[in-house]
Order: sequence, then structure tokens, then C-alpha cells
Amino acid sequence: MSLLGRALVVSGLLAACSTSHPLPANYAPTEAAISAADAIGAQQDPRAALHLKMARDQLAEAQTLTQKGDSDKAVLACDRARTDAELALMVKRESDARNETNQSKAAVERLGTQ
Amino acid sequence: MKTIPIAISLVSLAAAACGTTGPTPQLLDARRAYDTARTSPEAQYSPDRVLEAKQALDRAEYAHKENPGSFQEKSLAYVAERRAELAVVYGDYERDVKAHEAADAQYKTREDQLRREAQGEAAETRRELQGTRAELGTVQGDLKDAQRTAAAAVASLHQIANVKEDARGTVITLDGSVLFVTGKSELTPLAEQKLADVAKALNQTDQNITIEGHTDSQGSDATNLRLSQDRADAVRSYLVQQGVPGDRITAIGKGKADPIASNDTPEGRANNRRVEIVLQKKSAQ
Repeated sequence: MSLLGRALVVSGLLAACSTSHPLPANYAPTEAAISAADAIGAQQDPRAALHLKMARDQLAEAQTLTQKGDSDKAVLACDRARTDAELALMVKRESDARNETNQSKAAVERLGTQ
Repeated sequence: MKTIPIAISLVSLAAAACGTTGPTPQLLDARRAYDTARTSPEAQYSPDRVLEAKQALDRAEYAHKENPGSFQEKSLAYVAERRAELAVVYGDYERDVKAHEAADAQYKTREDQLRREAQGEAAETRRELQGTRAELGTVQGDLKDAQRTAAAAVASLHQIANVKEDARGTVITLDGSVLFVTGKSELTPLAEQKLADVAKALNQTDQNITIEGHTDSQGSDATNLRLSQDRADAVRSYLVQQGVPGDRITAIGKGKADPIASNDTPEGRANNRRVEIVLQKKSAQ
């Protein structure tokens, strides 16, 4: 086994033996996606709010799995949470865009009757 | 007994079958969601997102193949389903944005059109106003000219005749000796010149006119009456020739009936021999 291989094995063992379990690498982007969805007002749209809740639930699941030392499943749960957060964000953006479009169309109609 | 081994074998076979086939419900949902996204009209707006959904589904399918029913398969299938939904929503969003841009462009076009129409109307109104002002200027000029003419005519009337107001209206008294040769009813050249000035003044008015012929008391009543009528008619005819509408003028011979001075003196008789042109008051018409 090469020196690099041995080093990886040692570091893996050290990580496994450690009492504190580091959060998965995709944890930060997931949190950022949840914050972004929250900031845009996803709570105000029923469908977006549902996906935002699912994102939070699955992030909590990822944290629990991390604490249990199951980092592989934590990473997968984190991915699920991030996808739901992205969907919540996009659903709200689409809803806003649709409302603005309808307002613009109404303005055109009002102007058309002048 | 042979039944126990057979039963065990059947369970084993069923378990084996379940283990090698049958995607998880999550994977089935993901496949359906991907099909929906791929065939939706909105997909044309988000081809990259549809591709991402396909790649996510491929990862879930691979996990199913490698480790069917696993946590990994379920998680990746869940993510794939969400990616497919994202592709549809993103397509909706792109469609909304394009519709919004189109509506804004339409608004601007219509706004420009209305502005141009308003500017055109304003320019037309300005042109009309200028035309009206020019017309007004012309009318005012004409009015001033008419007023000047009328004033000049009245001034000339004062030079050739006595003008006064009484109950009948404005009375212009012309000396009979200036208008006619004694005992005749033909206008003298001097009379025509004076009456031409009178006609100018009368043409500035729209009142009805009465021409009264008067004589002194010398001679018979019948002669005086006829002579005064002939003289009033002669004045009327001349005024009509000068453009005063005939339907406005009435000629009356009054003979010696209405003297304005004593017939006992030559001066008094001269004053009584006269023609009066009466512009009737409007209220009396």
C-alpha cells in the first residue's frame, strides 16, 4: 500500500473513532438554500411552504444521522433537503413572476381601453 | 414431512424475486415525474433542468441496479423526482418571464401610441386655435373698419343734416331746399351726394327706416300731400339704389301736417320743408 493509501486509512480510522461527527460537506449549501427560500417568502405560498418544511425535516434527519455516525446516509438526506429547498425557492419565484405577469397584462388591458 | 422444505423453498424464491426486481415506490415516482417533465410544454424553456433531472434519475436507476431497495436508491429517487418537478417549475418561471417581458413591451408600445395620438391632437388643437385667432383678428379688423366707416358716416351726417333722438328713434332731418327744386320731387345733384353719405350710414344698421316727406303750409293740402309723398319716394328709391334693402324702408308723405316751425315766417316755412329719415327703435319694430 502506498504512503498516501496508508495515510487515508489512518485518517479514516481516526475519523471513525472520533466522538464528534463532522457535518457532511453538502450541509452548508443545504442551509443556504433553505435560508434563501425562507428569505424570498416561501412560507407565503402553500406549495413552497410544504417543500420548505420537508427540507428542514430532512436536514434535521441528516443531523441525526451524522450524530449516529452514519455519514453516508447523512449526505443523502442532506441532498434530499437541498433539493426540496431549491424547489421551494423556485416555486415561490415562479408564483411571484406569474403574479407580476398578470399585473402587467392587466395594465396593458387598462391602457388598451383608453 | 415434505411440506416444510417446500414452504421454505417458496419463501426463499419469493424473497429472491423481491430482492432482484421491483423498483421502490420512490423510483417509480421519479420515473413518472421525469416523464411528465420531459413531455411538458414548459420543458422547452428549461432543457438544462430536464437534463439534470435525467441525470438524477440515472443515478437512482444505477443505485437500484446495484443495491435494489436500498436507502441510497430511495434517496436518489427522491432527489430525482424533485429535480423533475424543478424542471417543470423552472419552465413555468421562464414562460412567465417571457410573458412579462412581452406584456411590458406591449404596454410601452401602447403608451407610445397614446402619447403620439395625444401630441397629434394637441398639435391639431393648436392649429385650430391659431386659425380661430387669425379669424378673430380678421373679424375684429372688419369690425373696426365698420365702426370707423359708421363713425365717419355719422360724422358726415352731422355735417349735412340735423340728427336727433326722439320717441320714434334716430331722426335725420334733411333740408328740403337742398334736396329738391321748389315744387319738384327730383333730387338735385347735391342731394344725391348727401344721400349717398346717408346710405353709407344706414347700411351700417339693421333697423327699419321710415322716410317722411314734409311741406310748408303754402298750397293746397292735396298738392302738398302728393309732393311730400313723391319726395319721400324719391329719397327711398335713391337709398335703395345705394344698397339699403328696400324691405327695410317705408316712405310716407305727410304734407303740412307735422310742422316743426311757424309757417308765418320764411325761415319757419323753410324749416318745415324737409325730409325726415327715421331709424326706428328696435323695440318699436
